[in-house]
Amino acid sequence: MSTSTAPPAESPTPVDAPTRARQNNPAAVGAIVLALLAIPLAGITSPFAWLKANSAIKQMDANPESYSGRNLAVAARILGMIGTAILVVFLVLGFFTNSLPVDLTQVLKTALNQAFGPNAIVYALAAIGLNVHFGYTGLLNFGQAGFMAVGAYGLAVSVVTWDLPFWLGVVIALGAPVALAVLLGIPTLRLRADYLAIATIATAEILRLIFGAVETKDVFGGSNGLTGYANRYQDMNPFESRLDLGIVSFSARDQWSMVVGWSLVALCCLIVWALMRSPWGRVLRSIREDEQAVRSLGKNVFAYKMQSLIIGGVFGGLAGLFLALKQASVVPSDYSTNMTFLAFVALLIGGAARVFGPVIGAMILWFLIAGLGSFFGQATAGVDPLMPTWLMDSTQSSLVRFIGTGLGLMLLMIFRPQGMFGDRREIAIDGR
Amino acid sequence: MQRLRVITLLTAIVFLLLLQPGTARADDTTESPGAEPTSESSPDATGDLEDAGELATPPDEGSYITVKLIDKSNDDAPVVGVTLTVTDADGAEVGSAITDVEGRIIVPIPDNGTYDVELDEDTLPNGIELSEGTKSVIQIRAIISGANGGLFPIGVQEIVEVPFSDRLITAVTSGVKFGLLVALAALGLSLIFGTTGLTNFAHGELITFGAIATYICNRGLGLPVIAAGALAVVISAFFGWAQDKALWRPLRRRGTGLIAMMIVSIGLGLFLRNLYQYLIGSSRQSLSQYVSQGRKDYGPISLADKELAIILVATITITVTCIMLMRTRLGKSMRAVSDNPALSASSGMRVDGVISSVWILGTALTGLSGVLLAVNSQINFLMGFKLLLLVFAGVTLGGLGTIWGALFGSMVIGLMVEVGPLFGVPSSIKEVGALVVLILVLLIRPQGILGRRERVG
Repeated sequence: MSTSTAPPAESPTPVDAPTRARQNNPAAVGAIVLALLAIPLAGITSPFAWLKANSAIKQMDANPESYSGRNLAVAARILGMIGTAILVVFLVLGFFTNSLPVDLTQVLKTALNQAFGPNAIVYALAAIGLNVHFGYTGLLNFGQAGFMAVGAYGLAVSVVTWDLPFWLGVVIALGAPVALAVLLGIPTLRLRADYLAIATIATAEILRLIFGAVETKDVFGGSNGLTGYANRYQDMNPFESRLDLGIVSFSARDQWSMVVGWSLVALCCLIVWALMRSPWGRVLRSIREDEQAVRSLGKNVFAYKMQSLIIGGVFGGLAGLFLALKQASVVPSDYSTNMTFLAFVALLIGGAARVFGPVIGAMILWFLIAGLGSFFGQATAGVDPLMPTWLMDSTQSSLVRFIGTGLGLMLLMIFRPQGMFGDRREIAIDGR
Repeated sequence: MQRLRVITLLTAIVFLLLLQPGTARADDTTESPGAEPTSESSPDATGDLEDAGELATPPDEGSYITVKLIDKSNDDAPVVGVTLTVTDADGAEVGSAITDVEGRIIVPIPDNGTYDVELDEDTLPNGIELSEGTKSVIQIRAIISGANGGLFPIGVQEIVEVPFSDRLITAVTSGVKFGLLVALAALGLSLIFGTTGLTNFAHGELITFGAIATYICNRGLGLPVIAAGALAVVISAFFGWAQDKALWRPLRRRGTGLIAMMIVSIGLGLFLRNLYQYLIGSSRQSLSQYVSQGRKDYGPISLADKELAIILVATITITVTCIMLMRTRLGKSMRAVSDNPALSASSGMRVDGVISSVWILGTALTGLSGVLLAVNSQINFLMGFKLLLLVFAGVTLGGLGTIWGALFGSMVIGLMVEVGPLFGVPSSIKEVGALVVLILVLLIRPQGILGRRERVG
């Protein structure tokens, strides 16, 4: 769609040498973006902006004809320097003196706790499922929250409403996503990627609305959800006291959830690794690259996509099941579209089509979310907060991290779609 | 969007009075003859309504349950002549009574324990009905010592002089209004999708943008609502132009894939949504004028002035836009680019310029939808996001990328959402019906009802 006969607006005078119009150096653009991103992210990105701007300037000086945007890079370098200086002063003050109202050790503790804690596990499991869908098969499932919801409600409804044994509930919780995947796959897997995206997001919303509706309160517990199914799980907890390792500390419940959760994550990673190095996994990847070519080789593309949807959906259901066990209650508002989007962010941070990508991504995501939340929470708390109140008050401070998440997702997709560990050639983003 | 107004709130106040708090439980059990007054007072009360003029009196001895029905909205007026039945835990009937002039019943009970009080909905006075969310059975636990009182709110809504045809007309009217609002946003989405191929998940935030711009112009700058709305549409158009210029055009030039752009739009949506919440908070805000208006009758339809204005503005805008797309040179080039960008570029069109105008037109239409929504009800940072799926449903239903399809699909969605509850869709989740239809259409006719037949999979 980018075909254009008119010269691009940035270069009013045609350049003689290259056939391609002069454009802004991508490194310079990246640098200025990082420099600006430092403002909502409390300066974390400033040193990177400085480094990137330096390399951009070097690149442009070596080859001045081919790029424009030197001014951008210079601006980014200056901003980056200022940001880094502020960051250093801040870190020194924060860690070594008490002159700041923000306790950075506390921020770091909160962030690490969340990065290894149960929340990161939920998102890691959900993102592993999305990795099978999006990373390996190229299916755009925007309804992972729906798979999680049927997993969680599968357990809760069978134990609380139907009075079934706990383990049968777990089996039902893992069977429900399979049923959902089949139901959802039949109409939509033959369609283009964006149709699948809309259909899955709509299904997830339908499920959330039905689970939270007043009319189905007898079965699903309405907007308050269901509780009282996780006793069996908590009874198995062998930990009795709080674990304190100095920088991180976890309650006995969290320790048990972490043991179970990280084992599940490891198991899922193992399954994904084994599947994706098999011939079956290669077919999935070929479908992502070129569906028609695979079809012409006589493979049943629909069946492969369906299997992928089911497997990823079961991982999603497992994430929901784990979330339900971990917090001992299922509430419909948890399973909103935002949850799917955050799982996507986790996947894209780590890198799609990599076995450990979603796990690392979920940990980094929660590190940042919790760290920023704690930082801005402290910065706006108290009588004389660090942040001027006209700029940010304590209710607004909890939003900064999500503003940052949105901005981060955009920038990640634009500048580094392969995430931290991915391979750019392996990302299914150039579909129709 | 306008539901049957919840006009009355009925509150049943249940008191359980134990007249012999100190005595042993065995005493209560032996007091079971205390149930006899019930059987005497019951026939009394089950008589004509006039008989209800008599006040119910508590029995001299023993425990009893008393329930009082009050019409909360109508100055706590008692609700008279409603039959309530008390059953015990085993389902056996203990007694029943009809509310007296004070809206009260008194039913003696033989023993402490759990009792169900059931309200017979058929005996409610005309024009009052329990709302769908409320069960007609209340459970009461009688505890041994002391007097226990509890508050059981029951929502009630008045049926607007019942006939089904009238309710249908009301629902269709609000369905048309809602459909037009969705159609404005869907037209914007469809234009942008048609020319750029972008499935814009941040489109809901463009609706909210219009509403918030109105709010800021109105409350912040002190403009009258109409001027603020007009200004908001202009700001929206500018926002669209700036968005294309700063974000989407560079991406197109880099050759970013459509799915990558879709994910970028998710990030943008997340960013804008939280930014809106940062700016205006999470509560609902309202404009300074036209907040609540009485309805006037136009034949069988009754509309507030603002609703009439919304319907007219939306209809006129949609008509003008469609005529413009069909007749003018700009409209022709938009359709050409949407049909085949490479060919239009090679026949000398400025594709980027056309896309720029599409963004301006699309966001202006979407912003207008937000302005009208703000006038219609209230402003909230999530209002657009909540509408997003319905807009998608409308566009997909009619056929992605076709203008008539978007209009037709949106009207169907608007009507489905508002009329659905009359045909059994639970009203608390009335959007579900529309979304289910979306999935069914994808199953049967993926190109949409009016879409061109093409391979989509």
